[in-house]
Amino acid sequence: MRLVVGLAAAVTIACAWSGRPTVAEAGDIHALVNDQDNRPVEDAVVVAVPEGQSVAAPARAGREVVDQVNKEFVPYVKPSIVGSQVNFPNKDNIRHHVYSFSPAKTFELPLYVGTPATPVLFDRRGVVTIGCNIHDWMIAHIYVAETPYFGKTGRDGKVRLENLPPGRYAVRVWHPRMQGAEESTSRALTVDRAGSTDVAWQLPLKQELRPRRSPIPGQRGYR
Amino acid sequence: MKILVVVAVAACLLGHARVAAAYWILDTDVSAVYEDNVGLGKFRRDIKSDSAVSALASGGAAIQLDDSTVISLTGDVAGKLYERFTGLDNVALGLTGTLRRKFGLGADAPWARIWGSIARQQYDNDLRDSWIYRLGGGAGKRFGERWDFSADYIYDRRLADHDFPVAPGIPGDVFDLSGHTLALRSDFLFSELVSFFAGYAFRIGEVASTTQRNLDIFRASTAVSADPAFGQGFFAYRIDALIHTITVGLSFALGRRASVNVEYDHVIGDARGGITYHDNIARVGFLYRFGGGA
Repeated sequence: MRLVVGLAAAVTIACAWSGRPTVAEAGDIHALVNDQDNRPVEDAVVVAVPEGQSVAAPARAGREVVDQVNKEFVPYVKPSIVGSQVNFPNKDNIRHHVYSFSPAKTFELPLYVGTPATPVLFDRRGVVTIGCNIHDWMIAHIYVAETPYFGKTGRDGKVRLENLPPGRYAVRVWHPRMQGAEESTSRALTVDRAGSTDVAWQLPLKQELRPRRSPIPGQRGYR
Repeated sequence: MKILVVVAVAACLLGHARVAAAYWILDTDVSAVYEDNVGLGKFRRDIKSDSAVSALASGGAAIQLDDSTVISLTGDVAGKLYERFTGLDNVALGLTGTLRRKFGLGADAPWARIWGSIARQQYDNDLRDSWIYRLGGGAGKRFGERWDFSADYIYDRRLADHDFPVAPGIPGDVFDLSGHTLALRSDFLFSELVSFFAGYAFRIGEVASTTQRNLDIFRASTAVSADPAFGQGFFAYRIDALIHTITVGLSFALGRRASVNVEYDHVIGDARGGITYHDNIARVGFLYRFGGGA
């Protein structure tokens, strides 16, 4: 009996500490993102912002990682919350030079190998596009959200936002290749207690045009 | 011998480079080439077409000197085998050094480069055996997501081994040549996989062509020699000319390291004495890049 009481107390404390509702009083959003040809869209960020109430910030700012592997950023899209600190470990055996011009976070990590000692703080909402100044094809995006309720679609174009407090939400989607503004995708949804709400978008995408990595005659990137 | 010394010095220098800052590079290229006027002849009787297979391997090291500057040194091996005119078969061994600097951050930042190369080119037919020196400088920039532009200046100097005169008072070192080239190029990205490129090059200098006996051409020439690569009765001659080369091509990416490329060059030679020639070159090639360059 003592064990059960102890366990219940621990769960209660944990829930209170995290600021999240217990499973019994939380709902989910199941989102599906397809493109204009009804093909599933991977790497779309779905964000749910509670309406008319302030959302408790997470107890501690997240620590995130965007790797550099085989001269590519991994992952290509990284959603995170305002206040997150992101590290950029270089797992290649050559040096990289990471930078961003984005208004949400302008920074530069000059040529380095290994893991920089200090992570980069992302303290403003918005999309931060990062690149490598040595390898121009290396591009990735960090989506900095103002809410803890976000997720990224998988290959099937689906993502599930779990344990949302019941209430009204403005739900929107963002993708690096989307046509139009992120705000235009906003939908008002009601999340019920212990229920799940479905939402779907058909997101017109444009072509991706990163600088080409494979060789082109007469063009020698490193020369 | 010269090349071996340079290679040894370069290897020592690169050996002292910090490992993290240096990376190995190796580009390989195999192409099938068709050319409708390999001897750059003016008259119908002199115009000879041929097909060839060419291969190139260019390997070495690149060193990132600072945030914006990279220096590379490669050893280059190239060869070309012709179907009909086997006297033109050749192999070349050389070195290329390049210093490239980017001015600013990001893919759209402008860049500039200077480079120099030395190569030993050996032909099946001795007349063309020579050392080739090139010096170049250029700059380029990406505009938006699709366009790239670059401009280059190149000075080339070719020193022929042999001087085989056929007429008194006229030198026979036909393949002793030099010239200055201005080359402009643009690349357009259709998609991440397909790109189009076009270029225009203007060269002023000496050129070597081949003809059957022709007094007007010999009078306008600065050197004449028998050219057995094209058979009995053919003569190679050196002449001052303006060369215009127009290039268009398509490049198809095959993964991260390879591409298939289709290229067409139209060459117009406008030489002293009203001698003009045209040459059309079509090329299909496969490029593969090993190492840290891709």
